[in-house]
Amino acid sequence: MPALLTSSAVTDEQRRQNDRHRHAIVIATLALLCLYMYLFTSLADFIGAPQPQELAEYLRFTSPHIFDRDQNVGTQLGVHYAPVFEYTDDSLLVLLLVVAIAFLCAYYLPLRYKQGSLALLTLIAIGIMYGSRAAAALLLAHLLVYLVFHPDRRQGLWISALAGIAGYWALLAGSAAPGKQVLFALALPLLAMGVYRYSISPLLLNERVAAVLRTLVIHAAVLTICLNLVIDVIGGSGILVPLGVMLFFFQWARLVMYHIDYQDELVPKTLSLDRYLAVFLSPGVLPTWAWAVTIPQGYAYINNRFLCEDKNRIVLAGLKLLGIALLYLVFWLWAVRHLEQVLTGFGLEINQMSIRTMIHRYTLGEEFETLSVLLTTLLDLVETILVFAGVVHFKVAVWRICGYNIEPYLSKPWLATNLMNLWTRYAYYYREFLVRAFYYPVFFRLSRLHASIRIIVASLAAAGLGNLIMHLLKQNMQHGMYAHNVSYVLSTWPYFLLLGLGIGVSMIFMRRRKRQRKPWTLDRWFAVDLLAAYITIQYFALIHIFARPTQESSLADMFVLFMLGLGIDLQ
Amino acid sequence: MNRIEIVESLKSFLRQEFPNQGVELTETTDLLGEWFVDSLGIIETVLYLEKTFGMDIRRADINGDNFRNLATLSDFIVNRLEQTSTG
Repeated sequence: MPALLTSSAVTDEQRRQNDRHRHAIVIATLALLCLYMYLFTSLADFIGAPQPQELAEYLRFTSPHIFDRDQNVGTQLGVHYAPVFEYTDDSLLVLLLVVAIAFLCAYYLPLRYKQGSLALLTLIAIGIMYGSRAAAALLLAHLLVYLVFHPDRRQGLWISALAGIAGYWALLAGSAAPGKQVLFALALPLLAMGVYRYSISPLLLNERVAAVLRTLVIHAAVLTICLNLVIDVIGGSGILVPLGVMLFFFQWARLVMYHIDYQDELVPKTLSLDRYLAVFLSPGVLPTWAWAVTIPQGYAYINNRFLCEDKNRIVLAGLKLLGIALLYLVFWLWAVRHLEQVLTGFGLEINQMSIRTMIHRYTLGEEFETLSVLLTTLLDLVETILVFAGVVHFKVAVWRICGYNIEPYLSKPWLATNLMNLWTRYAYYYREFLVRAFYYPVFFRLSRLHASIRIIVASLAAAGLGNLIMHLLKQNMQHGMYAHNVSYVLSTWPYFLLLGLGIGVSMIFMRRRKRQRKPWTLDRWFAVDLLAAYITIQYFALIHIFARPTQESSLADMFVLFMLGLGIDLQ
Repeated sequence: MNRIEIVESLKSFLRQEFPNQGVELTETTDLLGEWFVDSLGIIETVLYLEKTFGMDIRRADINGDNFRNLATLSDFIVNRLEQTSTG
């Protein structure tokens, strides 16, 4: 939070002063990206070099947990649901090439073209990986948002014409005879201009109507999912959402942040289209994009962080994070399997470090001890953190090498000594999204109530309700807009309740306790820090039992395992 | 309460609630970067402002312009109290 609030506006003049070239930085960045290409994609095949696995064996380092069948490093990093490429390594190669080109554009182009070029490159990359129609649909959706948020009579006409062209390409191209195609291609932009000029533009003059329209376009994903659920419940066939629109829906959290910034008057009314698109279309959103979609935030934070200091320092910070991400991405599975071997070697039951495996085995009639439940949940979280760290550090690094001085998403969660701090360290931007979108509105609305009640209710609104809504949307967008996907997420409600309560209680506890020392100071309280850190992360791991239901498990099964973790045997 | 008294009151609160031996608290100390530990610090301060000055604080008031340092925070309080008394 502090870093998000401190980001004051940066002028273009300040940015120009920060925009000085150092070619050594460029060479280092490109070299590191080439290393990524070599390790994670089929680059070695293309250039006739030895495969990463061959090289590792030559260096006498062999592990079955690092390399996959094509002899390069297997990774969670990639482009989700890219239908154009059968082979995920190819889409990753395209992604890394786009990142390299984006870096060069952000580094060398004149200031006025930097952010626009990043948006254009991202759109081109989406076109390559998802098809031009998906890119057109995504562009169309954003143009509609832009037109509603930033109405301008003259410029709006041209942008609506562009929206008409994008709409034609996304929805109608190739669907009719060539003669009709030409007719559609000419008619749709004209129709879009007419609708904007004589319908939308006059409506936007009425501030109340404009506010409703803004809310509708921002929450289009929520509305579509609700509509599809109603249709699913009454037995109809739902609305098929084009892929590009689905990509737009996945930016719901960022759209909400943009809306909040707009309401807080942090977004200029006359924002140019390229600066608007740069918030949503930047190479940093592409890698494994369904994860951590809140990196970084809405308009204010992103804009204020662009070239806010010497760009070489920002890129260097990005390189550091790229290096850390590389270690996680290459060695996470190797580390996990070795840890598993060591612990099972001691005769400990850790259920393959998987909560789902433990629940499955419990439903088959196996019994467990408290130690086994605690270890399994903790190790499941450790594995999640190791996988997650590689991907989110890479995503933040891409934003940084493109000139955005943004904070890491994940910051040593094992150092958290209370649940609130753990949440910040584990999911920085996501927490900030929930705080601004859910916590603050509830907290400030309850100004007449006692402080502790306000904190508990606001924590439940953010970590409980807001978090649940986000998971509902994600589940429906990833696995289809069906009622069974909603009921699946709703069945995990104890997780959200326990997280919200835990955070609220830890906030109240921290309020009452005078902060006389910083955690992890080397004094006689150090052991208390260690204990607090363990209890915090173990509680967070334990409540994940409710977040990992299996097909055959019931709430009662998960409750028994949770209580067993607390030392109460109900088996 | 005048501006000087408000600054002193805030200083006393911030020193007591967020002891920070490494940084000297002046009117220009960067509160968001150097003083508050996390968003709980903001919430704690909001609760203090509401209780001490009887202010009604809105979500939109939580921004870098108001909370940057003691000077901006005091100006915000003075302006809000003036608005309340005239409005």
